[in-house]
Amino acid sequence: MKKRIVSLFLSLTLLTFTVACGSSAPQETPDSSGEPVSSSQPETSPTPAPTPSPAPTPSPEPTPTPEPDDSCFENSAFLGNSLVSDLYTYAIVPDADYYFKNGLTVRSVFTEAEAGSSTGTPVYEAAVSQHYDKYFLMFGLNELGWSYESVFIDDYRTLIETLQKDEPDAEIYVQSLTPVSKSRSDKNLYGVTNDRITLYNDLLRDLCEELDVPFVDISAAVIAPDGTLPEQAAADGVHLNYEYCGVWVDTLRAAIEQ
Amino acid sequence: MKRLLYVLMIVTVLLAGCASGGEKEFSLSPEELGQTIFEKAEFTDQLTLLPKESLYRLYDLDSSLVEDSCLYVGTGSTAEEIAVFRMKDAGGVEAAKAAIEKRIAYQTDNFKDYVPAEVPKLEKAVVKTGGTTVVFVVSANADGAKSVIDSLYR
Repeated sequence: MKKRIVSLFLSLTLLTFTVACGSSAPQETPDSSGEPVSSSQPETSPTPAPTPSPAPTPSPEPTPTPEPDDSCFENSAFLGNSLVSDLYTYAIVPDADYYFKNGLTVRSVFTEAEAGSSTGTPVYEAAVSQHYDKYFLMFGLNELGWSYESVFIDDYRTLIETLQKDEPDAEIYVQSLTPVSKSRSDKNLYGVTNDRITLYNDLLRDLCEELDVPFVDISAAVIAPDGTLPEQAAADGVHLNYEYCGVWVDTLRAAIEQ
Repeated sequence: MKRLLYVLMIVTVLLAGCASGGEKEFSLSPEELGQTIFEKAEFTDQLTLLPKESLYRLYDLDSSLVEDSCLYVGTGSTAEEIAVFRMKDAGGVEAAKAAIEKRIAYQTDNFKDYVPAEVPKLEKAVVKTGGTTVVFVVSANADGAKSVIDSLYR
């Protein structure tokens, strides 16, 4: 009798696995968000089933200069706003360190921590505590809406002078604001216009001369002949894409090497 | 008693069979998955395919757990992103999901005061698992992205 039971059990096991594993019946299983999703991909799905390309060419963006000499970026730090976030994400200068937050200004750099910070240490303090040889500053776009440009320059002066005092042996590079696209400039949201960007850059150049720190004109490298950022350079007309971030880095590298 | 034993055996075997048949897998490689989602889901930003090593700049993940990956990122103007993780084993899948949760929290903190319109995209971010592959998409149309991903299961 026991043999019959075992035999029956084995037969059932084989039969069930054959049927279940080969089944195309829809199975409801939870996805990671907890929502049930059909594991079967029906031919009647409203979304057309994608056809994998036989010879995929997945790179949608051009690649910047191959393997440049990045020794000039050794023990260096970028400080700034969301444009610095782009540089970090794209890893065009992978060995530099980055201190940034979206919306950061020359004033809030002393008070706001980086996104996701567990310590709450302000961006400036976090950077300076690591003692870099070079600091690359990128601020201004978030300050374009300020009522007085003199406040921007005064606060930028405070940032540079504080950094000079805290890191007397470090080189400080002030990078210009970058232009925005014509369509973005025409909207004139929060003071973001190319006229105002030009004004800020002129004031910044004077400040750098006064404080004897290099002013790196990134704007001149990415601007089109009509004085605006090419529309294809940024989806929102402001934040540079991978290709244009490459131009930015090339410009900065050339300035350092001078 | 014997009848009860038979019934229990049948139920056990059926349950085991159903569990096996319900395991979902993706039919494409991470690179192909990323490319297909890039082409078919809806994005407002310019996404860029990054080198594989860039994954570890954005995700707090042990590279030894990862078999293969694919990463598309937007500019600093949006939180839009596609990340595909093919992990070496089931333990790695949990690590990938934890890294994605951390990434969502980070991006939410980064955008909440800057471009608040990106926060709902992060809240509706799509995370789907198939075998040892985890797909993460932040797009302008979460339902559309979900449909695209669902269509990529084997």
